Formats: sequence, structure tokens, C-alpha cells
Amino acid sequence: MNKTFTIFKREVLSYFKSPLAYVVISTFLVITGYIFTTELLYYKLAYMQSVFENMVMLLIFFTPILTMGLLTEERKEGIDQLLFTSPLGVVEFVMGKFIAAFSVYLIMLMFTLLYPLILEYFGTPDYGPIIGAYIGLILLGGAFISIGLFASSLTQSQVIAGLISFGILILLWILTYLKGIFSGPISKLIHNIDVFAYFVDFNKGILDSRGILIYLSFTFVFLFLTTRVIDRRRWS
Amino acid sequence: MIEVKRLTKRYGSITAVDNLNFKVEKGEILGFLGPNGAGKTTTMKMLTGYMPATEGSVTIDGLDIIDDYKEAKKKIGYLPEHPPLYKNMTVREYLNFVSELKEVEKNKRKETIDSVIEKLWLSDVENRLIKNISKGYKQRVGLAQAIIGDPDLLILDEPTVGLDPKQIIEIRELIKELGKEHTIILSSHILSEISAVCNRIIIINKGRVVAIDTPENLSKKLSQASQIFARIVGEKDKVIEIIKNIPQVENIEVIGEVEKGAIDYNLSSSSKEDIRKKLFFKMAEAGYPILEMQIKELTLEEVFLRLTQGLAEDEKGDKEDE
Repeated sequence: MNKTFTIFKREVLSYFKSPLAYVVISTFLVITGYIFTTELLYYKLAYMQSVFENMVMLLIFFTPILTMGLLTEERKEGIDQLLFTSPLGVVEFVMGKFIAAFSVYLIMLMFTLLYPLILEYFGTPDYGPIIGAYIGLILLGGAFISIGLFASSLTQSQVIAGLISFGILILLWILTYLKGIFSGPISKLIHNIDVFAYFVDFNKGILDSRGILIYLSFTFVFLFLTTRVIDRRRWS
Repeated sequence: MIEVKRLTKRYGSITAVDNLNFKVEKGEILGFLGPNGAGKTTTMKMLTGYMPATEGSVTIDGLDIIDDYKEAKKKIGYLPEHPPLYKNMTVREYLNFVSELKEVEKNKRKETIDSVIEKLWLSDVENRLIKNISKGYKQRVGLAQAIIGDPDLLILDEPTVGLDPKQIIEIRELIKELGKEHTIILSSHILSEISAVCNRIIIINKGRVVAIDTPENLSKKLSQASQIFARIVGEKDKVIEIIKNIPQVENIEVIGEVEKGAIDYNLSSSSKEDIRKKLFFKMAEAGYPILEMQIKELTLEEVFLRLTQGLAEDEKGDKEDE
């Protein structure tokens, strides 16, 4: 556990030593800020649902950028030879990386709290949906980051890692449109793993245990797969 | 200290390391010598537990490097071929990271890092970003990383590769110094480097051990027939005639005229006796000046050829066993 913290600390510092974290966070805030402002000016309602919907869309583009370098660089530079010849377990390593990227994501999300504060100042927003949406965003972000981390474990190239995780997220997104094509158990399966559909509930302020469970399962499964990939590579 | 049994690594049908067996005792400096692609790096990766072996085992003080990795890896410091450095950290930050990774106790960390920085003369660069320091410094930071946590065993993969001659000498001195407190296994493809620091040498080629011995014994074996290069002014036929009269000379090879008026020769002698004096006096007698003369050091290829020739019979025996 101590070494998870060691890995985490170094990774977070390296995010903020490079322009990456700043660029990702500021771009995300510019775009969501623009959406928030125009929506507010147009509808004049203390209402954020469509902003959150757009945030989820944006995460498809932004989390791959956040995660693509997580595991590629160490492999490319041969630093994994230091890591895996010291008494460090693969799980500790992967958890450290995950928590680091997740923390940067949470920092990014924290800045968006400004929007409900603005609503609070000028009106009386309904906090149920807003809190629900944030819980959904936190859980969904975790799932997306673990997918990105997994993609990053597959290759030494940041670009390819980014594209793989982007591809997986896009695939998940278009699942919604496949629901109508299939019938029976396949349709049911798609319905069950459609992560974007669950967010609709969160965004209404409904905390569905199934949604929470699916998001956590995604996170867990991809984290597990990441540890497997790293382990397997050394054995091959 | 470390015991290697039947260590084998296969990639598909290619055998990179084939049935390696050896033991290193505490305080020894063992050198791995072999041409590029001989399996040195693969062997070291298996010794450190970075890469599991296809067959065989590595145990460190009785602890298996795969099964008891947490305990076994604490005993090892490893410098890979390319030092494993985070480019956007300063030297001190990096060493602090490594000391956390290697479970140096919190209250001893500063002390440990200070002593490593002092030992490797890194104080000039300790607060600079690793990407901005020279190759020689990077190599030293790599070594610093390996000795953090005071591991009993240091495994160094080509520690002097890519350094300038001054740095090479520094690193060698350092390794000798470290050898007083640590057991060291290091690899190189340069014979003189290995023989300068090691107590014992393992020569490997194509994944197999060609020879294990002390540098003295190896060079004894190798120097039985020595080669001499000479540049002599004079008529070729007559010079050859005179050289042939020296009984120890086995073979004369005429290289040709490099310097105007002088001809280069390679002489090989069968005995250990130094024939340079004889050659000198004979040529002086005949009035042919020797412009240059030196004992030719064996190249690695020649070392291999000789060793493989000498050990051909042993190998036959091995193969029959299999």
C-alpha cells in the first residue's frame, strides 16, 4: 500500500510538471464553460442536465488523453526494469497509476463545481439531479480511466494507446444505437452494459444500484485486465 | 549468494539462454563476457526477476526470485543496459522515489540519499533535471539507483557502454570500490574491462557458457600462443628468411607496405617465450631497422575461437549428456 502511494505521488507530480494536466483541464473547462453559459443565457433556467450530458461526451475525448501515457513511457524508457526489479507488486503499481489519473480527473471535475455555484448565486437549482450527476460522473470517469489505463498497457506508443481507449469508448457509445437492431439476449446484454444509458438516471438524480454496480465493475474488470497484461508480458 | 540452476530462456523456437549453471559467492565480482546477442542481457533480466525463465531457477540466499520476489528483490540492485531514469525528475527527487520503492525506512532516507550522492559524485547535479545531465552522469545516477537500499548483490548490465574514456575509468574504479561491500555481477563485451575488475569470468556465446574461470587462468590459456606485429625496413624475402630462423616462430603473415619502404608482418609464436628480443637482435645484426613492434592483443573473436576450440571436446561431452 505504501508503494501504491509512491507510484501515485510521482505520477501526479509528473502530470503537473508537464503541460498535459493543465492543457486537458483548461480545455475541458473552456468547452464546458461555453456550453454552460450559452445554455444558461438561452433557457434562463437553473438547470444543468444538458451540460452534464455534454460533459460525458467530452470525457470520451478527454480521458484517453489523460491516460494514454500512463504505462507507455515507462516501458519505452526501460524504467519498468527498475520498477519490477524492486519489491513492488503489479497490483500496487497499477493502483498507484489509476489513483493518480483519477485524482487529476477529480481535480478537473472539482473546477466544474463553479457552475452550480453560479446557479446557486442567481437562482434556486434542484440539487438532487446535480448531486446525482456528479456521483455518476465520478464513477463513470473511474471506468473510463481504467479503460484508458488498460489501453496504455497494451502498447509502447502513446498515440496508439490513446486511439485504443478512444475506440473502446466510442464503441460503448454506439452500443445504444445497436439496441434496436438485435433482439433477445444480445439486446438484453447490450442494454445491461450500456454505460451511457445509466448516466441518464444519474442525471435525473436517481441513484440506481445497477448503474453504480456496472460502473464499478467496468473499473474493476479493466484494472484487473491491466495487471494481467503487465504480468503476461513478462512471462512471454 | 546467488545460485543459478539450469537457467533457460526460449522465445518461440529461439533459445536465447541455454542451460546456464553457476554460483556466485559473497564478495565476488563476476563478469559476463560475450559478443552482442550472446544472451547477457536476457540472463541478467532473469537474474533480477524482471523476466521469468522458461526453465530453471534463480535463488538469492535461498530465496526464489519469482516465488519469494518481495524478499529476494530487496537483496538486488540492478542497473539495466539503459539506466531506468525519469527524465522530468531531478536527481534527488528520483533517488528519493527509488528509496521509497526499495523500502528504505523513512527516517533513513535522507541519510541514504546523501551518502549515495556523495559516493557517486553527484552533488553537482543533484537538483538538475535528469534530462539535462550528461550521459556519464546519467549512468552514475543509474548506479546510484542500484545501490540505494544497500542491496547485497549488484547486477550491472554493460555499465560503461557509451561513456567516454575518462568516465569509463571512473565507473570502473567505482565498481571496484563497490565490490568491497557488495557482490557484483556485471556484463560487458570488452575483455579488458572485465579482466580489470572481475575475480571470475563467465564467457558466453549463443546462450551457452564457453568458459568459467579467473582472468589469470583465462589469459594463461589464451596467451600460450602470442602474436607479434612488426614493421621492418628491408627487403621482404631476406627479412622473412631471418625471421624463419627464429625457432619459436610458427607462422609469418605479410600484411604489406603501409609506410613507405617498410613492410608490416604478423608473427605468431608457439611458445610463451617472448621472441621480441630475439627479433630485435637478429634484425639489428642484419641492419634492418624495426620501426614498430607490439604484442597483439587478442580480439574478442579470437578469444572465442580459441576457447571454443579448446573446449570443443567438453562440449561434445555435454551434448552426449543431453
